[in-house]
Amino acid sequence: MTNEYDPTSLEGVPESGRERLEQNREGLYTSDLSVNEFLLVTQAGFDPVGLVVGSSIFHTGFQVAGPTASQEMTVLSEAMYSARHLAMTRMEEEADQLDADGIVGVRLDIGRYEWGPNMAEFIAIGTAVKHRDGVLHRAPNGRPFQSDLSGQEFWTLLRTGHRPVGMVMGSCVYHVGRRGPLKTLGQTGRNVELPNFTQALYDARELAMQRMQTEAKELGAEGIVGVSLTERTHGWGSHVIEFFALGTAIIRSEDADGSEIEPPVPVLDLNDRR
Amino acid sequence: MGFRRHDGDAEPEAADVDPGLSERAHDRLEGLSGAGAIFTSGLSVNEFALLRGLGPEPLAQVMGASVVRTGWQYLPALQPGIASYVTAGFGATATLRQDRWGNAYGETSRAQIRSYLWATPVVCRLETISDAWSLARRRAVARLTDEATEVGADAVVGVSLQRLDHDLGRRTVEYVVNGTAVRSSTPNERAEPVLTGLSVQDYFKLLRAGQEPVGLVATTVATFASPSRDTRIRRARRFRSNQELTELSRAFRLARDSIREDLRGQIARAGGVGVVGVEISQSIRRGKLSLASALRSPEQQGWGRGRFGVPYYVSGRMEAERHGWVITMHAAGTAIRPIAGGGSAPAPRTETRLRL
Repeated sequence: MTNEYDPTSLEGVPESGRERLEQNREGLYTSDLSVNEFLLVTQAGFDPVGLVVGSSIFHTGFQVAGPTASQEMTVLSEAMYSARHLAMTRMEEEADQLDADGIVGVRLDIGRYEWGPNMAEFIAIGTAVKHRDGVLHRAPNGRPFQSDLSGQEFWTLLRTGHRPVGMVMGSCVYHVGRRGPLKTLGQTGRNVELPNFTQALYDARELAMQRMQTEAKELGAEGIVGVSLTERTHGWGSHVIEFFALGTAIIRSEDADGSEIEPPVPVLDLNDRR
Repeated sequence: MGFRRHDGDAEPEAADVDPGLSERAHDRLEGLSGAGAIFTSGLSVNEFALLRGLGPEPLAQVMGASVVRTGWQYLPALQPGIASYVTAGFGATATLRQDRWGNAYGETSRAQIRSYLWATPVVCRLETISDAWSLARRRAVARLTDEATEVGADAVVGVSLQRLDHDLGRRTVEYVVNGTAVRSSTPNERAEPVLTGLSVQDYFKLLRAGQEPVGLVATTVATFASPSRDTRIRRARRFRSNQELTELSRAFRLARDSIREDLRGQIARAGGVGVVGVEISQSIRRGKLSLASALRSPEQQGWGRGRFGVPYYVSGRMEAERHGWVITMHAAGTAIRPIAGGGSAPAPRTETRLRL
């Protein structure tokens, strides 16, 4: 749905946001980096250019599954995915307006409000950075990269001769079917694996991971690091579960001279662990 | 959809068969194993950087899951007393055991049950619950190993065992196992990938110290502690004073000892000399369990004909329940052994620094 990307578009960025970005373009930067992160990002040759944010309030649709059916809730999967995608694209547009090379430290949050029980706000926040000497670090498709790496991780990744190209994710909302009463009776008393539950949960995770992988392939990535798999029931009841895989796709840097990090030196730390 | 069975699987005997690897998993891994394929990994950037320095390359994030429902858990049966309602020569003696003096041993007597409820503290292992966790974990780990073999890995690092509670129904337990499959640059002769629960940082330190991981060891032990009724009453009378709940202390100790024994056996089987990175977690809840029937074998249970042809029924449990605590203790670690011909690392440099 967001395949046609217009870099000059500010669709979805509110009026006040445009003013804020204008300020940032004039030289003032904002960031949510900690001091350590700031120092490392600066040392890696990047300057923060501004805090960028994207948000999307989504009304998740409605879908019914039979009580014993194990199936993907495609409407919900789509909603969860599109909402995050919209939020991330808006954040990306803001970064683009700032001429940034990419965004580090992206956080994806889901906010719920009392005034909208079926609504959820999907928020993406990160710090846009730009290479100081103008070496382009954007993703192969010309868009600013996104990554959920902290400043430290970003620095380390660059040192290994890789760079992030984008945050990739996969979402799968699955309805885990209940067991029929006859089936339940038949297995009383012994330890048995429940193949329908196992398969449903297993398949749902694999689907989420596969979707993430497909995204990375489309980006032309070399691999994905830092994958986190989370499972949540967003108030849908215990049998409808969202499986969400999130990671950072990386590629080898063009100017990589086989750079490696120095061999680590073990150090006995004499600080108290307090 | 549907699970593919292992080639080497035996013919299914009962309802419970290991279904093997999921088709969906197969589809996903297919995209990762070919030439020029991307990799996925649950590694942090630091781990990724360190792994490249070590040599192995990451291949794929691999996973296994299993949901198991626990069977009925009974307390261990009492030694059967002398049968008072069935005597040799009458009725259904064939279902009872007879000793050499001609006494037929039958069900636990009422007097026994009374003394069991009033005066006997119970501290025991709960084998059915322990086995259910072990079954779930074994299946999940086997699937993870299958996935790793599918992408041609020779090790899986950062294996995390997670127990999830999805509230899918009573008495269901779920294990999910996650890890990153890696392949080292030097081909090695191992048939199965080696699993380690260690992070790459820890793995690096181990290798430097001349040790190598040989496999994941994990166990779950459930124990039960229940004070007798007169102990309860005595404690209730002295509620103002501090008292030790001796059954509970013993049950904890039993759980720890069992875990230690289990782990020791597993390490020996894996060919390790020790275990590192053991994580123990425990949960405790109040529970009510029934006593098992002393007539345990299948031909003894069910309907039978007693004296004068009066039918009787023997179920798996007695009409005796104990209230108590169910302690479930999980432990997981990585078994290690010294590398043949590997030296030990020099002592680490010590320096004092101020952390900012």
